[in-house]
Amino acid sequence: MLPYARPTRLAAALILTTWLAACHSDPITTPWPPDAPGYRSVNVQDEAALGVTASGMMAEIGCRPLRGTPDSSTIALRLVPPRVTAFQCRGVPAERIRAAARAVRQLVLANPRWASLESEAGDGGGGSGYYVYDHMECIWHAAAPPEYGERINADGDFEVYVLVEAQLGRCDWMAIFRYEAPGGDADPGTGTETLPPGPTTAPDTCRSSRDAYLGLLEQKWIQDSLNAVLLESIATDTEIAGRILRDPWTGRLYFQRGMMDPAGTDNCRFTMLPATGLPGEVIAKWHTHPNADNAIVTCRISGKLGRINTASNGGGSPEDWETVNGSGIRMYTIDPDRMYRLDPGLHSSARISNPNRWTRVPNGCAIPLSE
Amino acid sequence: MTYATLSTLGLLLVFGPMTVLVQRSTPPEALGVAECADSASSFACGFVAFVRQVVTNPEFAANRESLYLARVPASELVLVTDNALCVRIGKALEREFKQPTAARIFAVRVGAAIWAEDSTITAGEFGAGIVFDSALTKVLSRSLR
Repeated sequence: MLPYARPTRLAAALILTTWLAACHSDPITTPWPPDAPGYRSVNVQDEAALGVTASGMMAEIGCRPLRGTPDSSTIALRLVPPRVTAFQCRGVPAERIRAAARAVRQLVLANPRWASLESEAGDGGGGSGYYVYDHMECIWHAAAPPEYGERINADGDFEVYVLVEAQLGRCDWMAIFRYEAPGGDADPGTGTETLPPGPTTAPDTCRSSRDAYLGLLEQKWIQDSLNAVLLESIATDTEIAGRILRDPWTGRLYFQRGMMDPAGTDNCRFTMLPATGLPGEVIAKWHTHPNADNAIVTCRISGKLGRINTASNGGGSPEDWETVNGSGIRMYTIDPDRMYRLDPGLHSSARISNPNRWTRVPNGCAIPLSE
Repeated sequence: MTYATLSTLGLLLVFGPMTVLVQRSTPPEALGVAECADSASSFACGFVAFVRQVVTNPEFAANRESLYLARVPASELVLVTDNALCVRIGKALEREFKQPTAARIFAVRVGAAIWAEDSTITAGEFGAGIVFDSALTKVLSRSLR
């Protein structure tokens, strides 16, 4: 066990209490689904996908990727080392932050590869292994960041932390702590942690969405994945694209985020890089439109200004339709209001009446608009 | 007339028309000349259908209003075919987009406004268009679809 001084413990407790009070510890109104259905496909994704998935999960509760200087609403999640992603959670109740962070962590632990990168077993001094991880917190109202302390984490486990690095920010200090939690806190690689009791109202399927193409949107985890990516797309004001794959032998579906070419990707366009070693055939592609119809947008790359109007274009830009027609592969698009499926072969004059459109329902099932 | 002169004349007779043909096959955009697009083209069909949707479908009333477009019967929404007007529209598009237009101009009169696009001018994946007043001097709104 690491040594620590009582005054420092008190200071740490005071800081933690202040932090929690500032974030308003409201009860969670929407429990996390039992097996995070929106993120079931993570085992085929790469490290970058963890970033988008975690960002999407955080965005769902109102936390956005940090831009600029951290402030008192900043929290950070350590993803795959050395990556630490910071989020701003203005006005988000602390309980929701903790629940989301726990879900992200559960996601990491469920993946052996990530878990092995995330954690390392150590000797906590008491004979049992300690789970070591870094965590960044914004500390304020303090002359100096605490060097070490203790806290009860979201899992209810006792943790000890020591200061690894601190830097002055808009808040008094941005500190990166290394936590050492008893082995019972986590079992890297096994994914044995259990999540809180799941909701009874959230359906596992979205049959009501009625997607005639392989019933893809009738699977809630696919809608959840699209919604999660959209939230990051909105937060970063950048289009994101990917593929839906099917293993020809098992029929298993995978939701994959593509690697984007940053030079050709902005709020109005995307350039998805080719992928190899995919675990199945590409049965559909998808991409996000971060802006809803009627939004006035200046495209960052082209500099052109305009008012978005994709709904009356059938859910896709002329280029989207050309891509679909050229490849013969269906394309799902999602924007803050709607989801669309672009099928190949639709004449340009018929796009406006594209029947494959849905009203987007965050955390729920999209509603068909063709009825 | 010498043999050489006859040969030259013969060459002119043979290759002269081809020279003219070659000159005529030069893309109009290289000359900076705009003309109205063929209304039967796929892009034109898509653009006209899009304009009709925005202007006449009550579902998109908010979009229509935000683009400063009047409500006009669908039957009046047809592609502009007056080449002189298309040349002027092309110049107006060049002026606003600050880039050369292609040869084909897609434009639809919507009441007193003219909604125009050039299929080669895009903003990312979106087609970029402009709604002008009838004199083509004022930009009423800009569209991305």
